Amino acid sequence: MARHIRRTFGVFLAVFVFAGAVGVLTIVTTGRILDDVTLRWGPLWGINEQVDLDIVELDGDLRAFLRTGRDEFLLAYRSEAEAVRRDLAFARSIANAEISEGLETQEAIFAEWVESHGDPLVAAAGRGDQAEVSAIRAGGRGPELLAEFELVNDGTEVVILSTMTDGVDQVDRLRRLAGVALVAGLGVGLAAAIVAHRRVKRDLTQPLEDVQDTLRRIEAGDPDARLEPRGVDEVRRVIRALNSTSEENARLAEEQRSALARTQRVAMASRLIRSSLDLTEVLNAAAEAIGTTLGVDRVQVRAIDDVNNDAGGGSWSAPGTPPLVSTAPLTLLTRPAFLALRSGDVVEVASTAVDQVSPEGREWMEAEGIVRAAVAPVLVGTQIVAVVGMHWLDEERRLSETDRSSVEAVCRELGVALGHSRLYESERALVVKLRDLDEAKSDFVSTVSHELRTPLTSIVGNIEMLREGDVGHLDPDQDRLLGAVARNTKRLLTLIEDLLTLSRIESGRFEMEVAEVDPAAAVRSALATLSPRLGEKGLELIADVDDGVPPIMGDAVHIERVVLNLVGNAVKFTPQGGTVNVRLWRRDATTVELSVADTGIGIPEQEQDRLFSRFFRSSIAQAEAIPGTGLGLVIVKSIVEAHDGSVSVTSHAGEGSTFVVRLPVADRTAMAGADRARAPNGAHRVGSRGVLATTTGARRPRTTPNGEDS
Amino acid sequence: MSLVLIADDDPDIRELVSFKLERSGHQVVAAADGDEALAEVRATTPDLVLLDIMMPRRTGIEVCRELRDDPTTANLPVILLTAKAQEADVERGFQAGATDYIVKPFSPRELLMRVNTALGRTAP
Repeated sequence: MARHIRRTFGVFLAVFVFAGAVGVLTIVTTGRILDDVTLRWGPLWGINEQVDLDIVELDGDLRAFLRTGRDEFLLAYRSEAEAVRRDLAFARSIANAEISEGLETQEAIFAEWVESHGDPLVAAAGRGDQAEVSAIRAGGRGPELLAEFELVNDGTEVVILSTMTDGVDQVDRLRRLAGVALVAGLGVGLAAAIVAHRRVKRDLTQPLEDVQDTLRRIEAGDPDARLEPRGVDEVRRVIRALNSTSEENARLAEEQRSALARTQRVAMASRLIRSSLDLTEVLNAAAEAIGTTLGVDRVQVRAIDDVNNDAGGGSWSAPGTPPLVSTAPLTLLTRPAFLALRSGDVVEVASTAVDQVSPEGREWMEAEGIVRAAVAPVLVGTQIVAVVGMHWLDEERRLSETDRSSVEAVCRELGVALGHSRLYESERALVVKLRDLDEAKSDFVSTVSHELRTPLTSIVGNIEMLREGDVGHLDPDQDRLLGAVARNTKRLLTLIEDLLTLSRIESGRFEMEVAEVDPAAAVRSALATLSPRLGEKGLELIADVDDGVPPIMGDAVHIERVVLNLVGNAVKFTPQGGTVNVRLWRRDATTVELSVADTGIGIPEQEQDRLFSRFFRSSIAQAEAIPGTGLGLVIVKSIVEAHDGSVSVTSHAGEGSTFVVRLPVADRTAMAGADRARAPNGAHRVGSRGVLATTTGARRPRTTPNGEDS
Repeated sequence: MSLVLIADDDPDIRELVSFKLERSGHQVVAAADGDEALAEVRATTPDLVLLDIMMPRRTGIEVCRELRDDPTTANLPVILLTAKAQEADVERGFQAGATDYIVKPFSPRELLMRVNTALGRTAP
């Protein structure tokens, strides 16, 4: 292209030089010609005319002298002759050859005339020789020569004038020529410019615009952005460079994509490896992660325990590759090669490497068709806890640097996971053992409780029929003895019920009927159940139950059970004449609180933290021989916690105990409950929160939810 | 005089129930499992059936369902006896068409009252 541009500029330059030269030449030439016209042919013409006039005058002065003899005419004659000679000589000095010829002829004729006519006449007249004068005038060629001179003078004038005209004509011609030459030069220049423009557009501008478009496509990430090389060589080179840039770019983008995909796979594998504590799962995940990330045919991951024995493994085979027939011998590598793994480096071996692969290793590799293998260690500290074997069935492939770092990343994760897994395995074994024990115990309790009910049904039923006189009346002693049997049967039944409930709660078979429960209704129902017993013992019940408390989410039967157990305990552990204070209120926007306070025997402070443990009975209760199973509060705690609540106790030995249960308000109704609390319905609330005095009414036959007779 | 069928795999419970009901003027037939209970119902056409839930061969619930599916016994009063006071069992019993249920261990007096109620009378 540069050549084209240089050529085009050359054309422009030539046109300029040509135009300049033509201009200068024209100016110089026409100047010279015009100089000749004004400084030579003009004066020559004037001189020629003057000479002609001078000759006529000279002849006149000669005649006057001859006629008068006066010296003034002679002087005039002589000065004019001199002027003619001088003028002709000067004229000749500036004339060209052609004009000079005429001038010379004039000079010659004039000289002849002076010699043969003028001067002899003057001499004759000077001497006064009239005859001689007449003779010369008569016989001389004087007039003839003058006429000839005149003729030559006119001829010279014609030559001068034609020379002048020629010069002017030449100037005109030259000017026209210069004009034509300039126009032609401009035309050539214009044509060259048009051609240059077209070529530049075709070979430079358009290809460069295409290059720009392609660059934009590359920038936008188009991997197929290529351009057919065209235009001038330079642009072709640019386009070829652009194409290879684009190819490189696409290759880099592809590499980046695959690197990203690889990173994602490694990250996913890491997550999987970390998320599982199952050894086989972890090892298989690691094998698969390495296999799908690298270009290997098979991957085998094997865990090694503390005493260098096989502790399980995972493997992966590329699609279409036959899976391993047997596992690799632990002594695949020679001892030194194996120990080299401790540094954490990946060791790559060919099956033929005698110094790295042990004889049995070579045998195994041959049997499995493995030509090359790479072995990566999984370390916990400096201990090798697993090895990752990567196998190739051909000779060509190797691990790249990025492959190595991927393998190392997975191995690091694997190290962490195996560390966890080992811990977990030992813990899990323990947990499984404990859980089996617990399940066996729960099942046992459940079965036993269930099986005990059937015989108890028979016992309870028969005692009742005996005592009610179905088979004849008993005497007071018989009735008293059977009464003791009945009481203890009931106690046994309560224990069985508590055990069964507890076992159901603890074995996860606690079937809750979750619904909105009105705590106030549950409390009132429990109090109604227990009021006969309160009466029997002569206790005062102060119930401060807010019927406006919002509902809670839970199982009504279980909630009632909580109140029954707590108030039942209060009744049981409070001596005659004591007070049981039950209060239900809304503690705050999200909590309902039930407190059961008694003036009973209390719980020694040092025993309070064991109060909610199974079968625990306070020393005072035991000392006072108050019957109980030691399960009631455990059940309370289990139920309350199943309802996301809490239970706590404050107690002083001999003064009484206060149990506080807090339960969360049902979410959905939290807002409605708040509205209700704000509503101006004070009258209703005062009316519903009255103190409920205990009744000391007669026993009523009734069945509690436990089948317990009160 | 009503004829009551008691079906329970435990002979002592059969004895207890029979004794109490017979003392109160009812006639009682007993069955030891579900199949036997169904056979007795067809043979004796009792006025009321007491069914233990946990019985060999057929559970009380299955027997109850069979009785309800048979037009001749569709309206026969059925009281389930259950050692499991779990709501799920009670619910299944009522879904199977039971008239009432009694949780073991029960009071013979209460049993009698419930039987009389189901028979539509207050006294034998």
